[in-house]
Amino acid sequence: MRRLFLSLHERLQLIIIASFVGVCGGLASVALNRSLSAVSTALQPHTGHWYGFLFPACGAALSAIFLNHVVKDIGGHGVPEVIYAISRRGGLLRLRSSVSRLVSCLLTIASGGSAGPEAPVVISGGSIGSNIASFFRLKDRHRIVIVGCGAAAAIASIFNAPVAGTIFALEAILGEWTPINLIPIAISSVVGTEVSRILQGNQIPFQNRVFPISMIDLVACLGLAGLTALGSVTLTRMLKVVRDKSNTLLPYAWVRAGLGGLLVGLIGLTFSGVLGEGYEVIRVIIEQQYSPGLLIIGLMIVAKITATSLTIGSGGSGGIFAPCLVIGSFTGLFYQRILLDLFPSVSWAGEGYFALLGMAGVISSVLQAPLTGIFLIVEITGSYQVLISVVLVSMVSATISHLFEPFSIYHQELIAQGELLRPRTDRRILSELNMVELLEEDCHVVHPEMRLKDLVATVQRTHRNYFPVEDSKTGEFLGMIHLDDIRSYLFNPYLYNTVLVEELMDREVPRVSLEDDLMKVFELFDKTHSWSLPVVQNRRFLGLISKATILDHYRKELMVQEEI
Amino acid sequence: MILNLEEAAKLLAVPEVTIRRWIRQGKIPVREGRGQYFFVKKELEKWARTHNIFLHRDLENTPSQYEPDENALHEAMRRGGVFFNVEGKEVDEVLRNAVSLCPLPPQVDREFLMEMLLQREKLASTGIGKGVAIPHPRYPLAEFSNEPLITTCFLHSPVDFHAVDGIPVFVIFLMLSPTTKAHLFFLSRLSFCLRDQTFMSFLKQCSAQEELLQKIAEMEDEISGEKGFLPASPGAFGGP
Repeated sequence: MRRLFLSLHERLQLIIIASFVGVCGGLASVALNRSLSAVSTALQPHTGHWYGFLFPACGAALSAIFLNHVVKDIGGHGVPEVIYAISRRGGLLRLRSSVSRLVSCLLTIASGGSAGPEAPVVISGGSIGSNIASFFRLKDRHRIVIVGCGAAAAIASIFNAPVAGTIFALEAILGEWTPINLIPIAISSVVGTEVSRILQGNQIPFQNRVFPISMIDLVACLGLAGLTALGSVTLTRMLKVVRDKSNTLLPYAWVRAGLGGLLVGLIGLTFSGVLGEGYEVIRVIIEQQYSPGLLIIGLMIVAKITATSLTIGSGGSGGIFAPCLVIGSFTGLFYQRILLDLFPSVSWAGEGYFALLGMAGVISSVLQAPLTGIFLIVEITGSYQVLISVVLVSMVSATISHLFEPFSIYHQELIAQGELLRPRTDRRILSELNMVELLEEDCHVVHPEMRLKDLVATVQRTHRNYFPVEDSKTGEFLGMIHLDDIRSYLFNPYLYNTVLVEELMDREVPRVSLEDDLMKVFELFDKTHSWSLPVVQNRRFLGLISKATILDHYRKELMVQEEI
Repeated sequence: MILNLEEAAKLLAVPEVTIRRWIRQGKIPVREGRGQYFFVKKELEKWARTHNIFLHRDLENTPSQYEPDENALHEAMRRGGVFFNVEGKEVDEVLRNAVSLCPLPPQVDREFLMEMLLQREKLASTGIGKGVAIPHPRYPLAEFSNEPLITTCFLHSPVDFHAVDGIPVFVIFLMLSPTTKAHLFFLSRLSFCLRDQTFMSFLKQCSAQEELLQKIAEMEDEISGEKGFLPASPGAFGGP
């Protein structure tokens, strides 16, 4: 069976696997969705009681314990892990990740934590894809695509938005658009969406009505873009602060998550709208039935940002999508109320319209993925009529927030660790090349007690400019002789018998070892202005590493990566 | 044709480790059977072509380059022939006569060779002193002859070659080499012979081809005995 499959053309293989992964991703998201609503309904009667504020704390602590001690998987919002796996490990993800996140996310969100179900579904879909790809013995390059397929199917089915799923996978997860990526991912997105439609019906999450959009609304959009940029920069920074502070102050993961949850619960006592994924609130806002005034809305924005930072920053398991949508819709509403107060005579397009734009703006800025934002909003609201305004707000907002927070929330950590390796970048190629591949072993070793005469004879015989010096008894590496340094003595026969290699060699020559990162080796090259460096392991000389050889390999690596 | 890992690495001129990584990453077309990787040569070549990767075999297909061996000098001189009483009063005239005596393949354009020799003389005289000149074209040209040849011409009367020491030239060695490397090799061997005082006095009264070639062969044996005098190992020129 597998052999028959492997005989197919590689693109056909990918498409078949992609549709299979699409089904799995769709099922995973439906499962999470169903269980979320089931648990929330079960908890519903209790949330009104005085002890209701403890739920988020318990849920978050349990989820942290589950992740760290039961399945031994690391917390966080999940998407960076998928990106890391893609850029560093050829898309390898653990099988347990496909279930562990779903459970921990269920605990976090159903109990009232302020996060979304998307990131766990992304890692779950990605991990299913990765393991299926490994089962079919796909190579790294194709496994990466299949991981993208899993992520796309997950997002597509949870939002009932196939295009947004496709674009999210390409824009945020894989970071490159090629035909070989695009087709399987689009197919898996469509399949994932279809699975969720069969099981849950084709519901547009936030159905809206037709808005009377005029020129003045488009102009007003620009102001909203500024506001959404502000909101998303605040969210990003706050998330970072909470994560760093809680990591340094509290050593135990479950204590961190529990404390974060407790604070969220306390906020929830006053602003119950911040709890959970918050889709209900968005629905109310888009249907233009949210009545509270400007001040309350403003406070809701702040409260939601705080609650989200506390939930996710403290190690709770959940995504950033849903909170972004909530913050965005509140921001839009807030802006619309201000407009109404300032220009009461103008007939504005309505609360729902601005709420939509707000969501698009915040999502695009936080993820630094404007296309994902645009298509997600258009698809989950089913209104192509607002497309122009959505594009405008998304792009402007993403541009403004880029000035303050240049990297998306998913990439920040990876960039800080130097682990974001996008395809075809210098870093990626250097990380793939291994020192062993670059080692030049055809070197002529000389010994410290050799006379200059013998060295000259060696120089005549070889085509090398660098000569490693080894102790003739112990074989220990002592230093290097570079032809440039001894050029002036070479033509002086009077010195031939009097000067020893020992006196000519450079003992302080910088050396590298096999485990060194190529980035570091290049820094050393730049610093020392040398063309070749000795590779020394356990005080033994293994070979030379030279810029010329690296260029050769580097170029080959680039050429091999070209998709044809 | 089926290649194994080692052969594929050789064909692509990369280490085996790199090939293994490319297999893992799915960058290279590979087949698997009984736990081993193997490559179909056609597939691999097509892949290399589309990715613009240089195949090592391309290198092997170019005509094999001439490599001088221990008896190279006297063999080249035998191919070129030795001539006596070559006429000429001017450099041009001497060279023209030498070129016409030179045993070249029929397709060679002797006029062109003549032009190349004169160009070289214009840059600097090839008269290296002690009455000897080594005329040669500016660039080593394989089209004259795939195998190097040296034509020796003893002149009827000494000619002023504008040599470095001003001594009129009595013998010329017309040197045609396919590569720079070969040219330098012969120049180096010949100059070793010419430095020798007894050889010089022998040269002045030499009157038969076999005599000269015999003497050169002896000198060459002497050089080969003295290893290390010449940069004879491959790769001695060029390379970092």
